[in-house]
Amino acid sequence: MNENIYKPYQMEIENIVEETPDVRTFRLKFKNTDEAERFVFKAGQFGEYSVAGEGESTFCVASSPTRKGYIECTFRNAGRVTNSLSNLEVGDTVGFRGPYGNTFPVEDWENKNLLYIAGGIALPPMRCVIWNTLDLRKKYKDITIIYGARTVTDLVYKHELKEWSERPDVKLITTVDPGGETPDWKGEIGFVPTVLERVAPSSHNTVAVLCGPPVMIKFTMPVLKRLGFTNKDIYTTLENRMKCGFGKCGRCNVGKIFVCKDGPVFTYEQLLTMPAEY
Amino acid sequence: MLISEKQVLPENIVVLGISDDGKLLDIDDIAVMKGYIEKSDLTNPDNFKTALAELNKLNQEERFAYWQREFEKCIKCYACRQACPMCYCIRCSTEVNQPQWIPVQANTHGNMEWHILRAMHLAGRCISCGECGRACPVGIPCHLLTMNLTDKVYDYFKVYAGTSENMNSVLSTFEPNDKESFII
Amino acid sequence: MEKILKLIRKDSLEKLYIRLSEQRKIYAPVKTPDQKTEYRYNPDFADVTFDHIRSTLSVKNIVFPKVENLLLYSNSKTESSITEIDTEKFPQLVLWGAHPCDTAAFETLRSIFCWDIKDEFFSKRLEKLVVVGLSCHKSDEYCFCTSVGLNPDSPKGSDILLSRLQNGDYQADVLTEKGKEILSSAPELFEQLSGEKVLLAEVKQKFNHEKVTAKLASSFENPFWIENSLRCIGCGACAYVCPTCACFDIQDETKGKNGKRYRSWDSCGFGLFTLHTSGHNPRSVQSQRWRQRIMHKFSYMPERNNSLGCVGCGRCSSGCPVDMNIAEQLEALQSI
Repeated sequence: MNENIYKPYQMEIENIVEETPDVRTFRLKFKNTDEAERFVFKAGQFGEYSVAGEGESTFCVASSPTRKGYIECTFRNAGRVTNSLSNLEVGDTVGFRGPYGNTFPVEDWENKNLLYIAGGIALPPMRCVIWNTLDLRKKYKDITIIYGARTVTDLVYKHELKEWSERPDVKLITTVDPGGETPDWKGEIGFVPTVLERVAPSSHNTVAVLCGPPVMIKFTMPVLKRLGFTNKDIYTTLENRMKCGFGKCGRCNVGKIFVCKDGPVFTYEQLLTMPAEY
Repeated sequence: MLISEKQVLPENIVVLGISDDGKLLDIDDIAVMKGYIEKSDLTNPDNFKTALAELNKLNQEERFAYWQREFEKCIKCYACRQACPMCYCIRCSTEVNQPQWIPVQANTHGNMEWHILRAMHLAGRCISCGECGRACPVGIPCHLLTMNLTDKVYDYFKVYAGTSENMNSVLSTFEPNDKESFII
Repeated sequence: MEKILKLIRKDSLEKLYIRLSEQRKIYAPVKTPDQKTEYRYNPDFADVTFDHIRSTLSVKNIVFPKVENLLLYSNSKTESSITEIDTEKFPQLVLWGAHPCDTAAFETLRSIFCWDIKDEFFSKRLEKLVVVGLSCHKSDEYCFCTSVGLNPDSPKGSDILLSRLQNGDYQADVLTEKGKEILSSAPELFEQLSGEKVLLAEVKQKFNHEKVTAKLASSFENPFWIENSLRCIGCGACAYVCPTCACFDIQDETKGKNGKRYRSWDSCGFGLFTLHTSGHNPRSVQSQRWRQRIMHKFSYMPERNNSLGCVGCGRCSSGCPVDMNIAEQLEALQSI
């Protein structure tokens, strides 16, 4: 029978981590071992995760392709599908369609410094590429991660933030918005663009990956330009409303590109050629 | 009616009226508007009255079959809703998915649910403009459904929508002296 | 394939129709009591109309149904199983009497559904379809096929194209292998042409689509989008009656333990089409959505797929409740 491109893989939930009161991370493994072996993806790609009866929802694949045997996704409880996903337990079934989209060109970044900047719930799309490059650490020069959230509770991947802060080969700076700190908070306090300006990483031979809510991107871009980054060296992932994931349903069409096919990874140079409808 | 439902402020309205014989009408303010409305025939327009009478001659099964045939054509484009002056909900009940009150797909069953829901939401509020039926690209006379309910509301409550700028919608207001003959 | 032109008389046409309906379902146009044209399955030949200008809805329904199941599922406490739809079971169909604008739309739809990865549902339906087109001997003020590179007798998308002759018989232009199969299944119904003139409608060209595409490339910020869309009420009528619009929604519907995942028509003109869960809507105003419709059809699609997203049938303008006339607007745009 010919392949039904709308049919999801059946996945079983192996592990659930409650990152914040409304954000969860699932570790999923393929129920079918043949499919598990054949499955290949690259950092930056996303999938359509579904609960039969509720619908499908678009999240990135938050785990690195260097780690085989499972994929992970992180989502916030925000609507019908994420609500029912939040009620699932270990052992339940989740549908997964993917991988879709383009990838971070990690091969092109070899021997360069990497600067990762993320805000709030936008760390998951970057986590796949952060781990991808950390797992292949020797190929890259300095790696700096700047991550900020509104409050301490809103920080996701707290366990991994601890792991990254303890690694000598990674510079991690975490920050919370002014007013979001707790008495024992030891990280920075300030909005991400402000902290970025303070840290002022060098733009020489460096690639910047930026991911966050539109307002954060709006204020962080000028800082990156002031630090000397060129449009070709700034990468971001776009999130748009998506349904099919492969450029047919029309929802994510922005200008002549489809975010699900030509993205979600774009350089700032590419973004400037697109109409601002994202 | 829109003023009653607090959707527009009276001072922001400019009325451009055309009389039956094509003359421009001078309607300066609410008082003049009300006076004009009081003098008009508030029952359903004549051509629609004939169509409604025809429909009401059929028995219940025949009428259901008629509407089933009509709603088979519906493509759920929502032109009826967009054209209606009284449909102004920022998020229509069809656009709510927790729970999904009305199925998204355009099958006959779901189409009937949609049109009946819309007619009920308009009962007591429909002003019989007929725009919904006029807007429908596949020619479903959905205005007959809503106008039929206008007649029924008048039978029970003796009120037409839009006759005053501070009416209370008959189906969502409770007065202690409301008839309760259907309960007691 | 070399040109095969034959004559088919009116009564042979009926025989051909009946012959085709023995093997396949026929989707043909009939006139409704209120003088509109509707396509129906297997109407009697006597009810089939050859006089229509356009049907209310387009014929995309036979390759891209308004509701289509993608898969079925069954939920129990421990398992969630999926049943697939067997696309081989889709019926063999004949589309009869579709005008060149509608048949040309299949190619545009194919460029959407079959690029990159193939959509089996669409391709299988198209594979099992035989198209007997009908060129136009009448047109009205809404038609503008000649402005988008088509003609009242364009062969694009038809397997056999019928054209009315002055004496009431038809010329049959056998265009594809599928058309040849029909010819060889009933050779006695086709005769030599006798030199009668073909009756063809005249459709005045309203604009030049290449010039419009070029103009649109630099018109994104032009204020005319706002002026021209003031009366658009954001219903989905234009997208739903359009033969080339293919945006769809995917939804699940469950009854008890069993359910289905289906896709249904959607429109970029709806306010919630691009709404993010966060509440951010990249196209929050109707003028942006109107702009998206025109740009997508006349600028983005030509640039990306090399195919125009419009066939000039005029249904959008004649079906629009507030008379947003695409041809008029593009005509005006050309002269700005």
